Amino acid sequence: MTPEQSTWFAETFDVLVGNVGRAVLGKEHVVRLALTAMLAEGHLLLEDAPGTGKTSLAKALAATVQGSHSRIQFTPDLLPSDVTGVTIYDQKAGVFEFHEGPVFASVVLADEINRASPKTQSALLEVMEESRVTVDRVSRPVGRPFMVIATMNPIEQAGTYRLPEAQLDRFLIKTSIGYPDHDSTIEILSASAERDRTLHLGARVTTRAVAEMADLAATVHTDESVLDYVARLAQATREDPQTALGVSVRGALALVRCAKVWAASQGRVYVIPDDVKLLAEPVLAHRMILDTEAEFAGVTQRQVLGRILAATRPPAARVPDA
Amino acid sequence: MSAATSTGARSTAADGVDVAGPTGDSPTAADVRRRRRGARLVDVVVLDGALCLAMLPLVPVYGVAAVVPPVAGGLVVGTLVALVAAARAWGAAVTTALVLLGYLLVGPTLAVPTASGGRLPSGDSVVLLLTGAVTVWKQVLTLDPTLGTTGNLLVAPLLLALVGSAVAVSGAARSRRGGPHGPRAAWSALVPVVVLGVSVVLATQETVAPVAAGVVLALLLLGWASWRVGTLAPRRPVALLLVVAALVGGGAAGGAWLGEQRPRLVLRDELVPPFDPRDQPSPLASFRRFVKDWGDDELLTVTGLPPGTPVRLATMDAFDGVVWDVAGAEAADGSGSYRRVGDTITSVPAGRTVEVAFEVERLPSVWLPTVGYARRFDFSGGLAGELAADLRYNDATGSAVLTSGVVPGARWTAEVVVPEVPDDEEIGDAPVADVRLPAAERVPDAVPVYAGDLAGTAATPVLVARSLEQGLAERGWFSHGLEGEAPSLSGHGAARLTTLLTGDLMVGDGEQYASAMALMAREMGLPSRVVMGFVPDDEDAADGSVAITGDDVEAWVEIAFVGHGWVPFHPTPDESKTPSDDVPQDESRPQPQVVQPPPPPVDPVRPPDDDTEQPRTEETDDDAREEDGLRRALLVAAAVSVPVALLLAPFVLVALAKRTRRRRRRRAGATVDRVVGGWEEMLDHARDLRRAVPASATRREAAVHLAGAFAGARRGAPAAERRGALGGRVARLASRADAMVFGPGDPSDADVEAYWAQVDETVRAMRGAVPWRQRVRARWSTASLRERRRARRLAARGRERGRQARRRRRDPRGARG
Repeated sequence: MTPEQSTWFAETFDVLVGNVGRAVLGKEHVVRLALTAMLAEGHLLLEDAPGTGKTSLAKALAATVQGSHSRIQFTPDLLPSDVTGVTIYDQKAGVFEFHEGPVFASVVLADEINRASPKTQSALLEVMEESRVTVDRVSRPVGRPFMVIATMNPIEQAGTYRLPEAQLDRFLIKTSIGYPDHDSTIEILSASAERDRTLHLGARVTTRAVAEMADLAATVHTDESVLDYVARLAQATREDPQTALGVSVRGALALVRCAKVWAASQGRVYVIPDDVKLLAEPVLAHRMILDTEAEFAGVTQRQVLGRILAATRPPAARVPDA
Repeated sequence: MSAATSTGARSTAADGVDVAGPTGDSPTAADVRRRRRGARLVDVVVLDGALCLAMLPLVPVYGVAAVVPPVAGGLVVGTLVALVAAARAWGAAVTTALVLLGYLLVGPTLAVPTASGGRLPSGDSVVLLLTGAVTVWKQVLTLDPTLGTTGNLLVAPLLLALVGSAVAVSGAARSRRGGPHGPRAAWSALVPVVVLGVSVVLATQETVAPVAAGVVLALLLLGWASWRVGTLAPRRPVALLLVVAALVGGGAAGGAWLGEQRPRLVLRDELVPPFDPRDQPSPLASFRRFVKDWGDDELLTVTGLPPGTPVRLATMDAFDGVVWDVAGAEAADGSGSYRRVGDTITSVPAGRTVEVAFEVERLPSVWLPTVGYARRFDFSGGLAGELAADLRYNDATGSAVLTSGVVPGARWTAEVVVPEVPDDEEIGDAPVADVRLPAAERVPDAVPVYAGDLAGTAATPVLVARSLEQGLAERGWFSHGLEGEAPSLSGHGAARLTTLLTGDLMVGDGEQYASAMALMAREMGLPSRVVMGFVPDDEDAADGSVAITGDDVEAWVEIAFVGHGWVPFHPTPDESKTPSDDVPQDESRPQPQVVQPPPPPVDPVRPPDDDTEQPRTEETDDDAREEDGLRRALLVAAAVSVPVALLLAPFVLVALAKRTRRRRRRRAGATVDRVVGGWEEMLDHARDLRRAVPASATRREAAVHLAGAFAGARRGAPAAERRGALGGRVARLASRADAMVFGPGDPSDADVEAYWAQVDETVRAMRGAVPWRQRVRARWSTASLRERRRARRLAARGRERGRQARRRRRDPRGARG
């Protein structure tokens, strides 16, 4: 990645942020996180209370990218075939024909994912990890880019199923939006006539450009000391007395991928420990499982991770050649 | 005794006093026995007489009547035991057992007459005797004389007499007079000296013919000792007379001189009594409560109170800016040393002796009402024993406390001395007494001004005091601040007194006026104290007994004059002098509740700046030129330079260590390491400036942290501007370092040099942002050096832990495989 390329990357990234930001006011950091997930070719999980703009963000993100996007509203009676597609016998032609389900799109918005039964949720698993759907022993790729933006209500709410850990691990970033600040709220309220802010958003970038940016971000230089830092963090989550299950290698890998995109979005051609530190919580927190005692004590993953971050010394120099 | 003894006696007879006679005839056995008996009698008389003299200092402690029986009995028993044991040649163990037996037999009668019923040994009296042998010494010292026959206090003189005589007589009787061991007997003369020492430290300052007793004791013991050693030569009267004259003259002159020069060392004065009145709240602070809550309640009844005499409750001589209080127990002659008392109290001033009876209805405090100066307290009723044990008395102020509080229903009779109150003419121009009082603290500024105003041209101390008293009484108005009265806050702290003296209307009650006058008197150099008590109305007295209510509470001032003691002054205006309608209305408007101002903040403790520890050198080269100038100069230079070098060594070492560190960071290692070194150099400077960055911070976080830390460093420029300037520099340093360390490729030498230039510039800016003292301190601070060592140790420990963890993980796998 050359400095010119990094400048282009950062400028494009800022354009996208600005575009999405028109729909989701005052939440630039969340928008940046969401775009980071997209450019790292991962999936995004938004958990928040109803009415905080989860769906708006997802729709705005989809609208910003030129390309197909679809939306699945998850309900308890949703079936796996409603997600992946179904093979139907064409009587006229006398052949079985596959009708693609809503997952065959560049950006898939899985709204209220934890309202569906675990079986249906699991139907997303293969697509999310391998970008392909296998129905009736035929495997079909979903294309590139492919991104699932899932929203969910906090698990304590009525009518929700808990997402299985395996699926949680497949989301690159999990974050929440939170309520807007005072000024943004006033702005939203003043345009109350506008039903859907995402309607007027135009596509700013082609799917090809997104793929290019993703390829470019993968070339960001990551010093060994930074990798060492990520490894130490992951190790610390596994050794912490309050965790039952720490961060997997997939999690550590995800952190590095995100850090690269984040660095490129700042116009840098190298990752610094700050990137890792900043992304650790949205990338790692949802992958940790606390032990029962800590859960009873009301400790959250964020707290444990915060403690680990404070205790793990970030690198200041390169790893000495040994 | 054996024949050998008599032979020895005979062979050296010529040296001794009992000369065998020039004829050389062998004395008969009867002669020897007779002579020996005579000598033994001399021993006993001299030693016991000396012991009696040695115990004279105990007489004022116990009183003659009390101390004679145990001393006499002890001497008799001790002497008898010693003589019998010596005659039978019993060993030391048997003799000791006999002494103990004698102690237990005669002890109950002689030493614990009150407890034993005076006669035969009982279980109780034996226990008292045995415990007394251990505890009596402390009790003798802590109880105020005269002790009398209370408890087992007489064990002390009994033991001294018994053991003293037993040891002394045994020593004398067991050595063969004049024989090879004869001189040893003279050591017995030391026993009375030791007993004298013990008696003196147990005694009081009061002495009984010290010079005469000392001279007689010395004569007795010296004469006896020389006789026993065999050097007494009665035929040399001139020499004897000379010795006697020298002793008498020296003793008389020396004794008188010593007695004048300094007080006798007695342990009693060195003791700090355990009851500390400072633990009690200031009695004066509850002044208003007496009027407000117990105004009409009957607090106590006093019978036999001489007319016009106040009842004293507490005497306070320490002002701390908030309250008048008694001084701490450590002030030996102040208002704070309360001691237990024995039968009677001897240290009372002259005056009229009266007997006053008290009966308490309710008086919720530890302070015991007294009149004048007490000579003795006799508690009666069911609680008499406990109350007597709780009683503590302060002879400096004549006030007393019951350590566990004055209980309702307490009754006692006090034999008191009421000193005459002299009038101004009697006092005349007597100077004020030299009394050690705790200095008044945080005296409001208004006090000296007002005092000077009131004192005017008064010439003598008593007139100064009188003008203060009259000035306050005339200018002030009276009010307790109760409902329906003019507003007057309670309390007598600095703020209240300032209001009293500088407010539009001087209004208050005894609490405020007495406090104000006492402080003014101190300002004028008069030793003053505040007394709180009751002044009952004379017409209330019915058949000699007067009931005291809360309304009778009063506070006044006492000032000490030479030859007249503490003289009372009453500065409070008459109770009828209340501010009325003729006073302008706005002056009587209610004052807002004024909270006592908190004491001024204590100056923050600052560690001394390192650079102030410059060596102080003496100017010693004044006469260096006169003789041998060069050598002296060299010596002085050496003498000065060695301590200077020692003093400077730490600074030099610190500077050297920092320079070495900087050079290594800048020159050694790969270019990337040198960039990291530059950043660390900057962090270490920040650490030395007491603005350390947490270890878990990345470079950018550190930059933010430092920008904030230095923004508050110096007042003057707006904070945002300073934060912007320095914060921007540090942030640029952080991102440049990040780019070179974490970016691809290695930085060039030029990059490193440019980076270090930037580091130096930033460090200069940081140092410029703090006051000069911090700059100087930072230069010699070892904080960064220590931190680096700590970090290295931590890192080593972390590596070791990592190795162990890896080994643990490998081992179980190996075991399974």
